[in-house]
Amino acid sequence: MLPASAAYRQAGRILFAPEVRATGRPLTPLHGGHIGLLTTAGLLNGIFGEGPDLHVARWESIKVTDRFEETDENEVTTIRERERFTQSLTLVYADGTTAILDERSSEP
Amino acid sequence: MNNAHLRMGCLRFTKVLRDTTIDITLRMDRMIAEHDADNRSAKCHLLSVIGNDQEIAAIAAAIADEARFYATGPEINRLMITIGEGAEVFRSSINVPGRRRPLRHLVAISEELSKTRAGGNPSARRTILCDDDRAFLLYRITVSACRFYLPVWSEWFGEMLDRKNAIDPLIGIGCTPVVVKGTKKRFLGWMGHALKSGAIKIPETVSLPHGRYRSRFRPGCRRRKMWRNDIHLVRPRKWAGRPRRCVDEFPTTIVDSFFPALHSRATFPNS
Repeated sequence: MLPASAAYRQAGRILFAPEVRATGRPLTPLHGGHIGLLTTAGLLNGIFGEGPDLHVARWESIKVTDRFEETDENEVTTIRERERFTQSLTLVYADGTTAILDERSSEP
Repeated sequence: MNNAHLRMGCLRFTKVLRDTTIDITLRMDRMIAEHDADNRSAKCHLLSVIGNDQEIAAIAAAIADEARFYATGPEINRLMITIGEGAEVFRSSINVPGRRRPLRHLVAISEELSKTRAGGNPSARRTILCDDDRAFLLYRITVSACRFYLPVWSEWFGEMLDRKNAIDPLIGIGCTPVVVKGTKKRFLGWMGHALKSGAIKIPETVSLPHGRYRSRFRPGCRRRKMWRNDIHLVRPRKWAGRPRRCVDEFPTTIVDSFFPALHSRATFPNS
């Protein structure tokens, strides 16, 4: 009974991190915007390409914290933190090339 | 699986007030703890206790108050634990046939463990995991560190963790917890080198399995091969004379209710 309790079910999302699964057939063909939304949501992760372009791609949403410091004329420093979500793409090619692409990376 | 009194631990909470003393001892089915630097106390990462209304309410209040507890278990002597600041607490009720009131169940997770969820702390230098199975290690690291889950890489990844001394066992009751040391970039570097040297390959035909690896604890406490042979434990008396069937032939409801992880393991693609 215990492993099936509601408390374990809620804690299981942290402990076991079950991935979101999206299956099905769209009613109409997907446009570029749809593909972009699905990829950034991490629903199209997988193996892509062939030959030298064979690679694994994984998108993920990550939370980043922006920190601002302001000092006024009385030399009182105010620290402000703002949390927001951003996307990150991790690539691993078959030849061993790896890259993490996010808003901070300027080039692969 | 052992009987409950052999595999469960106890959690004791004592608080002396001006005119009374609170002394509560609860049964604890899971715990993950890690020794502090002074080796006298331990930082608790996961706590799962059962009790009545008042006991669970007292424990929840004590966790919010960052109080100290004493834990004992099958392989653990008296250990002072604290779950620390920012713990997440989940509570539920369990209806037990024959009991007038339901049991209360509390699961508390430390802040560090709660940040192992996907995208929680991408720059984390270590990850606490509740199981030491190699496929589970790779799956959880991929989720917490934004990596790829290819089951064929599980053995290689487990060997790398051992070779690089990047995995340490933790104190556990009802599970076999480990801490994996390493950052996102470190694991990615391992993968790049292994792909260059040919130790691992990206399969061309297999798509990434979306992780339904395991969503519950294994029913056993310790490393134990119990999957197929222990199914006779759930055979009702009326099946006594019938030939034994394999796991997949048993009704799903029976397998799920008694051994939840068994069914998920049986359907896992590469187990």
